[in-house]
Amino acid sequence: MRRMLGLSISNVEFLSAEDDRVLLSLDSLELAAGSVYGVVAPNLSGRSILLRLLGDAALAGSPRSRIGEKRIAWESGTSPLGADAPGIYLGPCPQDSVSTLTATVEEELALHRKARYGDIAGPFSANTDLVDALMLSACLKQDPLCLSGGQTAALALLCALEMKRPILCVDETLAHLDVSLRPVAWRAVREFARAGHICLMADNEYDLMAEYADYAIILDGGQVKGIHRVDQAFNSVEAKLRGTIPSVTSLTASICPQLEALPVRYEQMVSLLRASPNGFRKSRVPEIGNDARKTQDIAPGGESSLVFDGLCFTYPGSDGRPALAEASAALPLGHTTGLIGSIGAGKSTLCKTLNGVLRAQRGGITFGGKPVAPFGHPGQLVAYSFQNPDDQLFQDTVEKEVAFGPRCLGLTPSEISAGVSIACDLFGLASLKRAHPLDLPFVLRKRVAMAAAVAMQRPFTVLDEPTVTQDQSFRAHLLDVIECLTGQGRSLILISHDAEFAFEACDRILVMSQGRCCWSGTREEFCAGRPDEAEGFVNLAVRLSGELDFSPVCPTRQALTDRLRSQRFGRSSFQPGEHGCDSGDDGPP
Amino acid sequence: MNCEAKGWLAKQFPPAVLTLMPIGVALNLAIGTLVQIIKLPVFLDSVGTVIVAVLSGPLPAILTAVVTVLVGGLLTNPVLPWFVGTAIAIGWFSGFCANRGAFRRVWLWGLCGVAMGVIAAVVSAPVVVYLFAGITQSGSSLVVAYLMAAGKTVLNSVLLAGIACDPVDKLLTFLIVWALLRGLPVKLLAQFPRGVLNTRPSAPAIR
Amino acid sequence: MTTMSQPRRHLDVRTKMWLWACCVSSGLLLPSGWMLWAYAGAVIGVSSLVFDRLRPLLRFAIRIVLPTFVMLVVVYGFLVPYESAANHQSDWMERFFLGVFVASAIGARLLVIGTATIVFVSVTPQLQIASGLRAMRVPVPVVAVFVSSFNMYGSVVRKIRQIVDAQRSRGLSGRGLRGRVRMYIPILRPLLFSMLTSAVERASVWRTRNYLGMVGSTELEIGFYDTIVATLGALLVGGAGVARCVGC
Repeated sequence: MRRMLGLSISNVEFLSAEDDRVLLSLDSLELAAGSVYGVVAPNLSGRSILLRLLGDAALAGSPRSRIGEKRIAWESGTSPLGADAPGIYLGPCPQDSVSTLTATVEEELALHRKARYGDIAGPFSANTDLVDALMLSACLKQDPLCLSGGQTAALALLCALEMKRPILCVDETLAHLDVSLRPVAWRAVREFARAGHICLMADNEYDLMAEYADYAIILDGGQVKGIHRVDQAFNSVEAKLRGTIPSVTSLTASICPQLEALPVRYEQMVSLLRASPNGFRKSRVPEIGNDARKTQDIAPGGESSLVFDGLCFTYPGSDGRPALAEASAALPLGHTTGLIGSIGAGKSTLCKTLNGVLRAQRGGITFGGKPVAPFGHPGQLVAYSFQNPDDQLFQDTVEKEVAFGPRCLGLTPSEISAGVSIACDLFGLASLKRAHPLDLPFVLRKRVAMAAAVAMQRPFTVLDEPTVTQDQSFRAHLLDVIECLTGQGRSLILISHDAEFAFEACDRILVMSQGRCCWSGTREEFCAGRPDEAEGFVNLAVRLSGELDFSPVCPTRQALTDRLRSQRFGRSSFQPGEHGCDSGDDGPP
Repeated sequence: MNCEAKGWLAKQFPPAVLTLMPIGVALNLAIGTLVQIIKLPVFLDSVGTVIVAVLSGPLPAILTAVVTVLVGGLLTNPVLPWFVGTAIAIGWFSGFCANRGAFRRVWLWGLCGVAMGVIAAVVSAPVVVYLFAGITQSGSSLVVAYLMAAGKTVLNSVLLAGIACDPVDKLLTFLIVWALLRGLPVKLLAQFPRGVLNTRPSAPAIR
Repeated sequence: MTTMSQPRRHLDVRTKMWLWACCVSSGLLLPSGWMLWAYAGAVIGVSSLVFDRLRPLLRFAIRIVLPTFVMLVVVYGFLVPYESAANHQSDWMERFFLGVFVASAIGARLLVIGTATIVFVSVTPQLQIASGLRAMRVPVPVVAVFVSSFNMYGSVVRKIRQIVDAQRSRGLSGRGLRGRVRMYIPILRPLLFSMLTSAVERASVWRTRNYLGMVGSTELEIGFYDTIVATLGALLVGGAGVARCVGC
């Protein structure tokens, strides 16, 4: 097989489908084989378009793209990059990377080796160590369409590596992997690149990019602002803290001309909320057991807690393995609770049960001491923003979409209007109210889904993976939104594999494992106690608490944030026990 | 097969259509699940075929319908493959109507839905009569029983019952497909060969 | 350490397909009567010995065959006007047995078709079905669509349930007929959007694996011999159905 030395494209323009707006414009781009390029860009800056142009031949040949000169440099000379562009593109939805032509994971990995369908030639040649490291060895006989999101992402990456194409473009696929598996995946991509391929990685986890990539391509507004060696790009403290690099910090403010007032400052949000007549001013709690329209006001930060006791639930056809096994905990109002646990721990099942869409087979739920009957009225106490926003969007405009939930719950028109207005302002959708939700890019659809959940004005709101595919700027903004809402007496429940975001956003932690709640408490207690089940989060929390010389007594969230900012966030080799976090500790002091 | 025929076939079945057809098949078979959840007395077992017809034309729709009955015969109901003639008729007619603009005008799809119901009833009548003696698990069997009790022959009873009941189901199918496609972004419809042409020809040109 | 799978020895898929075709054709061609019942009994009996998981067959018999049988008995036994040969007056016993005769003939044929199909699907891995179709000269793109549909059915059902849960969590409920009809769009539109989006993405995946529509490894090739084999296969099964109609 001839060895590729590099790729060069020049005079590239990619146009919008509806008008002549240029979404991506490159004078020239030269990429060297054997290197990993991290693409650093805020949302809606043309990052996915760049990756698709290099990875998907059809897009490169479409009428919307104009590419002046495109050549591949081989050892023997150069050749044009034609319609059979030798690239692979992995998108942010790993389920779409499954071919559906095979019945098992093993066959899926071997699919590319079939010259004609039906002639699978023996077992696959994948690196079995990598299969084991990505925890797919137990799934080889399973249906690829039945795997979890993380497993599917691992499968997609493995298939792409198996195919050994000259160019590999990965667009946020690794965000679905468990925290502990992401470094494994990055290492595998780096090894693949070292074998003479070009790898482009788009990932909002800049820590990993700083460690494993060779170069950072800075992209903003559809233009390449520069290509830097990654050790030069990511060496500042500010970059590590905010997840941006200095030269991009000012650029992230100009995310998209359609979005206004993003990030909205905390003071602006509070004044918005206070100004609304009936919407978000008080925490509106439906009377237990009655029509959801009747409400009673409770003071923010009051005694009321959502308590669930002994919840049991088993999905039909799941071989008897319970999704919830005597889950019990209390969620107080006015706090942000991080729900952490490995895949299959029961986090989503618990939230669906609290929401009411699933009916627990045993156990009870109370709020403020009174039993709750949510089964007939899903969404009465807990609003849920699902991980995949496309499961919920169907209306013609963003405004109608956000208003759908409140309308179903029977809120008054003024309450609906106030809730919609505030939710759209909070998530930067004020100028997009008339837009069609399905016309928006994925990152904005995700924000619409979150706004729709918040607009329901329930005491508890679940946000499932709110930061997936969102850039650092929106993550910072989301921290402000969360603080604002909890300050108004609402509670948020966050399900997130983004350990650093969860650590910053949540003041309470609930750890789940195998369907039960094995630990619950404040974040400070969690960092000191270190329960064993949440490996990825624990490793991070231990490392952070060790590096920060963190004491359990932390006065305020602001003080913690200040302390985080004053320290370095390096990927230094941390040994348990070095910094006073003895592995013998197993409880709060 | 000569080059011209190959080129024509390649144009009818680009990769986007090849991946669209399994979705049409899966929709045809899985929508029964939704009907059970919502508990409505209709079948809606051709929604996927009509969607493929609107987005790609009659040939992919025919293939979708044929694969539906074959896969359905293996997965859900072993007697489905005997209705392959009905499937071909539904696929061809819905593609024919879609290419003639049935989904661009509000009233036209209604007419086509009724016509498709009549065609489906006529084509499936011989199969029902000669293989199943006129009685299947559908609700129209009650109408067949009544007509037979009134003295009509089996074939006439099945034909009349089909013509009375099937158009309602197919009309609802066309209505649902029209409502669904109306709400989808033009950019997505443009990915398929006839997506924009058959639904929104007045939309601004999409590259 | 990952271990490679060892191939199991199966009956050749073409043999299985011919067995299925012959079994079904015989069930259609045999005249109604004791021969047909004996044949149906033999098919079910042999299948029970070969195939130890009878649940799909039981489900098929209860959900499809039994209701059809009962309705046929009612229709042909009590509703259809009938004159007995003896005295031009309808005799209820004679009518009842006629109804049972017709119903059992149809029921026997349904059971033969159902049993043969269920056993075939149960003992044939999906990969073998695809290989068998290719061996019968079915074009590669058709096989690809067939297999993809087979695999996607379960995931679409799961997706529907996911979307129903997502919309119900926002308070969507259908009360009354009108309410239930209005539930369709909030469920079907997100389903269709995500299915179409994934179709576009998957087209890129298939292109990467050289499934390019009717070119590349999915090029449509039908030769003269392929046409003969396909025609003979269709004649066997379809002709049996036509012969059945003529026999009626």
